[in-house]
Amino acid sequence: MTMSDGVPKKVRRSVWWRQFLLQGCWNYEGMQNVGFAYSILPALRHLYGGRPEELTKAVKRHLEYFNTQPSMGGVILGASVRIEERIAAGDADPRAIGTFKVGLMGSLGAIGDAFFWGALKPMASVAGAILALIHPFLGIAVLLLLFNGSHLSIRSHGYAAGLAGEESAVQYLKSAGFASRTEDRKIIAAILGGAWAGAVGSRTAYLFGGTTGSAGFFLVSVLTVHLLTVLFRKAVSPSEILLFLLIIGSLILWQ
Amino acid sequence: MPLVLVRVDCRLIHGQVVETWLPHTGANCLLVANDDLAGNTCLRTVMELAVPPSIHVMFCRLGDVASSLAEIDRAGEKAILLCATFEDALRIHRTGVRFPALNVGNLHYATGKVEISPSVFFSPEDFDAVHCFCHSGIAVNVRATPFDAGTSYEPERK
Amino acid sequence: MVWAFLLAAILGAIAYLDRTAAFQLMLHRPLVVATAMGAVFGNVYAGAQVGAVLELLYLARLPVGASIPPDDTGAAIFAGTASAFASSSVGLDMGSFAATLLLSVPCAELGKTVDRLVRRVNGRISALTLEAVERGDSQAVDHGLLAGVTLFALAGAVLTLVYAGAGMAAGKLLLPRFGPESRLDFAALLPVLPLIGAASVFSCSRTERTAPAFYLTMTAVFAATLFFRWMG
Repeated sequence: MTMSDGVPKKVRRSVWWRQFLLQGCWNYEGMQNVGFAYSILPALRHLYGGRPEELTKAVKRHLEYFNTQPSMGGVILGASVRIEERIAAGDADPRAIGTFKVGLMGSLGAIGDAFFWGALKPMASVAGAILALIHPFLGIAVLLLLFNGSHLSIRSHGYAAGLAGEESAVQYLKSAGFASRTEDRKIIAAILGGAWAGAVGSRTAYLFGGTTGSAGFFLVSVLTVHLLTVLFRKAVSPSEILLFLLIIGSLILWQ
Repeated sequence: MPLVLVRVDCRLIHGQVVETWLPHTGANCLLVANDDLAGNTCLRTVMELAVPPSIHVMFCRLGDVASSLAEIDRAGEKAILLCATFEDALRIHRTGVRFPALNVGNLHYATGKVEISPSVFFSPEDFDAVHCFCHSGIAVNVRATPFDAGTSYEPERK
Repeated sequence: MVWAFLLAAILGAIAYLDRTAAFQLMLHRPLVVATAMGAVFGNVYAGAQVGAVLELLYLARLPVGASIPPDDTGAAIFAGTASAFASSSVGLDMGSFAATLLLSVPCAELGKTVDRLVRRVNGRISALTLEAVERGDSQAVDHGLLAGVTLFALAGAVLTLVYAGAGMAAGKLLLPRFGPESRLDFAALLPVLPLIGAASVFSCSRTERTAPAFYLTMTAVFAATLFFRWMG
């Protein structure tokens, strides 16, 4: 396939930028459907320029239900541009794109949720919170850099891999090693979380004074953290615990 | 009985299944019954990447669920069976696979569908299928994750 | 003061956009938002201190699929504003610090409801977009998306004004009503709050291998920092 019937660089870049608005019209019926159609629209306009009926059909197939982890959307978007190029050239069945997107969005959602929300965000958050105790701007800078370093690199590498075709997209997802990267970041997040608990705990213990007081306070802290973790696992929301504390606080003031 | 959960979910393997149902049911095998996927290595590879390495993932055609389950039973594993639509679930049931309850996680919206929960929409055919399952003594419950209260359709007693 | 609120509304709208509709660059995290609100209302450090504690509180709730986690951005707008005002009215002592954080919880829940409402309206926008596209108007996709983004931004700006207003009221009017003794009573709750944050981080990063890592680091850091505090 020559470059002439593919999508030019300028249009590809425009699609890349638009992926950041994937959730711009998130709704319960189609979820990221409008966002996806919006992102791929420049490519469709290029491919079906002068064929309005086919353009309408193409836009409609991208307005169907779609939902994945937003930062992983780039891979699917890139590969979808590639498949649309083939459909426009008559090399592929338009039905292939629906099968591909629906097949991929669930798994990529699972990979992305575990990596971004379950590992990378907690790690960046806790690193930022600890460093903010030293200086606020240091904390903010580290939080943003830690998260976005991985985030932006996955968005751009994923999109580029997708543009090179479905096989290359799958190859990228395999070689990116998400399972081990998720595991690593979870361990770092746990270590930093422990450091945070230790640091803030010792600050309170210092006020109690004395070795026995401090040791006692430490044991209570460990038990509290353990109990709360069990509650969170049982689907108790942090809001419920905080509201409970707010009520206790109000009762103390009432006395 | 190797089956711990049978689930209808248009997204098949995704976060809710991996992060909530697998730990909740203690299953160590995911059986995905789908005719389109059985012939698509590309998508199967990506789905396998989404599941922790300790979980065994199997794909089969709708007609082969019974033999795949026999295989899982021989290996002594506990499995979650996933299919994409009610139609597929009915076809699996007709091949002789028996289960006491059917979980519905996600069925996406289309015009004319009725909202059951934020992520589940039923078409008239879906209601027929629910009726059919209830008639055969299978409870149908709509629940995205084990933490949701959910909506249940109880089987008819004879 | 009008200008400060206007600036807050703009920053809040950007933060809320970053939360769902656009970019996800983590500009919506409580540490960033509370510090920004602190800066707008006169005390960066007060905002950053509450922001650091708030940053971790709600991490246990993941935005998986269609489920919406508590609105920690909204909680941070309230708490950042309240702490900045409290620091100039009664001083940000441990009692007002704890009160600011706890009073922000209803904001996190209200934000969830508004978010759900916006997403319902977006459903209507999506249906209208589809209709227009069927008539052959592909431009409607651009307009539909713009409408969705605008709605998210407007809802964010309005929520910010409400939270910042409530924060000002809490910091300026509510907290000074309590004497130093009652604030000291409230301070007794403060040590628990960072521990909730730690548990929140731990519960989403927990695997068999991370549990010893968490508790060992906690012990080591506790002992080491306490030792240095005693040494002076």
